[in-house]
Amino acid sequence: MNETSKKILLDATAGIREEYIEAAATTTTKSSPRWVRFAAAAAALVLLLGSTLLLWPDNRPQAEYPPFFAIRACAQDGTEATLDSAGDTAPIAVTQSDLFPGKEVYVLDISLTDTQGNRLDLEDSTFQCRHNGELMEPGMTDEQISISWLENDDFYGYRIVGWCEKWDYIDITIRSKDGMILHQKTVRIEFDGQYCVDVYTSYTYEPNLTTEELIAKLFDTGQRYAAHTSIASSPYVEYRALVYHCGGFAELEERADAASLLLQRWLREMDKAEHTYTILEYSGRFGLLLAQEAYWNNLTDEEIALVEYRVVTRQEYESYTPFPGKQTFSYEIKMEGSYTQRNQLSIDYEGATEQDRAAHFSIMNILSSADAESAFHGWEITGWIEKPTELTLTVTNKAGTIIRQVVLFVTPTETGYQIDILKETP
Amino acid sequence: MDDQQIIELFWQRSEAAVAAVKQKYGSRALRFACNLLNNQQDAEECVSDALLALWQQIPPERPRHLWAYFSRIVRNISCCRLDYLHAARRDRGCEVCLAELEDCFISQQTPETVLESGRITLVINQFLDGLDDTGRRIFVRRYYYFDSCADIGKLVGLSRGTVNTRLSRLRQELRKQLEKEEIFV
Repeated sequence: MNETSKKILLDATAGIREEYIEAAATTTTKSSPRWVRFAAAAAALVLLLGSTLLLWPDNRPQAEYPPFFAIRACAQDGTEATLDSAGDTAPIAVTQSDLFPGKEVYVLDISLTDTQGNRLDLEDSTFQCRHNGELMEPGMTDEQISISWLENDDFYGYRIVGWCEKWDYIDITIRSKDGMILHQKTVRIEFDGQYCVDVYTSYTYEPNLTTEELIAKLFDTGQRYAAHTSIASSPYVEYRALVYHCGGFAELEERADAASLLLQRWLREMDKAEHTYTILEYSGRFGLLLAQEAYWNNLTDEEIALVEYRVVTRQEYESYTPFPGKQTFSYEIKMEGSYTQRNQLSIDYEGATEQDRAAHFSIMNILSSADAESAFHGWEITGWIEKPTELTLTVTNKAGTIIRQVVLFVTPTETGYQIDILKETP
Repeated sequence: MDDQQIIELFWQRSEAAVAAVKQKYGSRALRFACNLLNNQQDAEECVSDALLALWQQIPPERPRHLWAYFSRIVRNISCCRLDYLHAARRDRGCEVCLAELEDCFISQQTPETVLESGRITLVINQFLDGLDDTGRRIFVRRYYYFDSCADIGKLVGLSRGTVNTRLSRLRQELRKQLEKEEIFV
C-alpha cells in the first residue's frame, strides 16, 4: 500500500471513539470460555439422550468431517482447474504483482469448500500453510510467496501469490481444533517459462480405516514416492523417525507435521539421483513401519512409484533380513549422546567396491527408547561374507574427523559367524 | 489509583503522576507499541516519549478517558517512529492490518477524489455503533491496537480462525457503509 493510503487509514482509525478504545482494552469477556460452554451443552445432551440411547440401537451415523479443500488454478487462457488429489496438475497463468515487483508470479486460490460449494467451517478447524519450513498466516509475505484471506460471494478461502525460478513447494494443512490433521496437501509449483501446479501429496483423514489399513494405503504402490511425506501426515502416528542419508542422519521431531516438513525438505534438498534413503520409523503403539530402498541412483518416477512398502510387526522386523536366503551376521555400534549428531558410518575391507558393499552389507539406524536418559543412537550392520574378512567400521563426524573405529575379523563357520574385535578406538 | 486521581496529580505537577501512569498502563502501552514496531527497544523509547508528551499536555488537557488519550499518543509516536525506521517490512505489525482495511475502499481514480480521514473516522464510528460488543472489540483490537488474530481470540474467547472470519465479514460490512457514504480512494 502507498504511504498516503497508510497515513489516511492511520489517522482515520486513530479517531475511533475513546469509549470503544477503553472497552477493547479490557481483557474480560462476557461469554465463558468455549470449553465451559461446550461441556455444559454436552452434559445436558447426555442427560437428555441417556435414556433414549438405552432403548435405541446405536446406529448413529459417523461424525461429519469438514469437506476437503481444493486448489483452484487459473490458466493463461482463463480456464479454471480445481485440483484435489495427488497427481492432479494444471497450468497457472503468469502475471505481475506489486508484492513481487519485476517477477513473473502465479496466483493460487485455496478454496475452503468442497466441490458442491459447501464452506469449510472454520469454527472447529485451523488452516496452516508452511513454506520453506516457516509457518505462514494470511497477511504474511516472505521472499517468494504471499498469503491473504479472500472472501467474497464467489470465493471463500486463501490466496497465494508467488514466484519461483524452477520449483517450489507449499504445504497446506487443515487441523481439527485439537490439532489432529484432517487434510493435508503439498503443492509443487514448477516454472519453465510457464507455471504449473501439481498436487504433490494429498492426505485426508478417514475415520473408518484401521491404523494398519491407513498406513498400507499411504504406501499404496500406486502412490508416488512422495507417499513418504504422507506417513508423517498421518494423525495416527506419533513417532520418532530417522532419515538415513549416506551422509548421516537427522532426527525428525515427534510431531507428525514437523516430521513431514523436515522429510520434505530433505527430499527437496537432496538430489534424489545421487543418494540412497532409508526411512526407519517405529512406534511402540502401532508396530513398526519399515521402508527401504526408497531411492536408488537413476530411478525414474515410475520406478520409484513401484517400490513396495509394507507395515511390519516388531516380530517381523526383528526377524527381517535384507539378504533372504543368506546366512547373515549382525553387529551394533552404539554412540552415546544426542541424536542430532550427524555422524556417518562407513564399512571398508580389502578389495571392496561400492557394489560389493551394497550387495553384502546393509546398515540400519537404531535408536534407543524415547527415554532421554538412556538415549543413544547408532547402527546395526547386517552382512554376509563367504571367506574370513577383516572389516573396518569407521564413524566420522560432520567435519570428517574419525570419532570411532572398530576393526572386526569375521569368519564364516558351519553354524554362523565368528566375530573377533581386533581393534577399537576409542 | 483511578484515572481522575492521576489526572489531578498531573495538574498539581507532581511527578508521581508519570509513575502512576507507568504503573497502571505501562505494560499495556509497551505491548501496543510492540505491535506496531515489532522491536522491544524502539517500543520502550516510544512509550517513554509518550509519557513525556502526556506530562507536557496535561494540563491544559483534562482527558475523560486516560488510557484512550495516552494510547493515542503512544500510537502516534510509534507510527512516526515506524515511518522513520521504515524498510521493506511487509509481514508484521500495522502494515498487514492497514492493508486489510484498505480493501474496504473502492478505488475510484478520478481527479475529484479527495481523501478525508475525518469522514472515514465518522463512518467507522457509526459502523462500530451498530456492532455488538464482541464485534466492536475485535475490530478495535485489530485496527487500532494492531493485535494478531490469535491474541484477539484469547481476549474474546474465540479461535483464531473464527476471529479471522469475523474480521473478514466486518470489513465487508464496513465496505458497504463506505460505499453508501460514497467514500472512495
